Amino acid sequence: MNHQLSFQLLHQYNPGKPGIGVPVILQSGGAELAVDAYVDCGAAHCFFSRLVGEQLGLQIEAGPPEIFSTAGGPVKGHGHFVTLEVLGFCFEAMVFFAADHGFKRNLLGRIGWLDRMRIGLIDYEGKLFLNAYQDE
Amino acid sequence: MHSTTYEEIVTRIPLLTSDEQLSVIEVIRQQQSSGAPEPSESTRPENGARPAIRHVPVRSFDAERAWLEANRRQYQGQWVALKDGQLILSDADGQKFSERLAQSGVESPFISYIETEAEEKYIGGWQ
Repeated sequence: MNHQLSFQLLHQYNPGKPGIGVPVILQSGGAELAVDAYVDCGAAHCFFSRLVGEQLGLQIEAGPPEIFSTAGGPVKGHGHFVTLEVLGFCFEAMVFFAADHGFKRNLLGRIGWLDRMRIGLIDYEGKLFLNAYQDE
Repeated sequence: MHSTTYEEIVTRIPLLTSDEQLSVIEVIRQQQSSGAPEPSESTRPENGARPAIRHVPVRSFDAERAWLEANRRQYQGQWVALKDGQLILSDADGQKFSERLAQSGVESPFISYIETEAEEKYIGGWQ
């Protein structure tokens, strides 16, 4: 049986890099900034460095705390609702910001991003295809 | 497995005051007693009506990506802030970088931490 999907958007990333990088714009309370983030299908939530949250003017510790398990040990984050804009798809989501300054990576995980999208991937060619889930 | 909406609500409960938490309980009780229908598979947010996504013009960061490609080696291990493809500031100390960026007054910067070669190799998949 063949399965077919169609997509509105093609994002070309550098397949020579270790991660699947996409630009993400975060907005909160009138503040806005853009960052690089990695698509991480294994991450349960979207997770950003503390610095990103601080630049948005968020009081990081005011968000509900959550401990995440990682290969390198537990990492603490705090949840905040922000507006995410990823390659023309814009929506509100709860994402987590690292409690520690040492966590420098930004990740787009399942809850808050993957669960709202349809994606196709040809990693060998560095091609990420995207649709909003709501769009057929 | 619980829905995304459930997870989001539960994680927000500690932010409510005691009175607000009691109010939420009361609202749920009232909705249940009024005979509000259970969400069906087609109306539950995670199984049917997904959170609304707005379509906006795709913003290009080609200039920033080009700068990162050209300068990656020189700035490994540092945070950089870019605007229109130009370097605004850089610092290896995240806290200092954050303070300097806030003081700069630059609106909507593109910020990135340029990983060292050792940091680039990572294993994801966590929760």
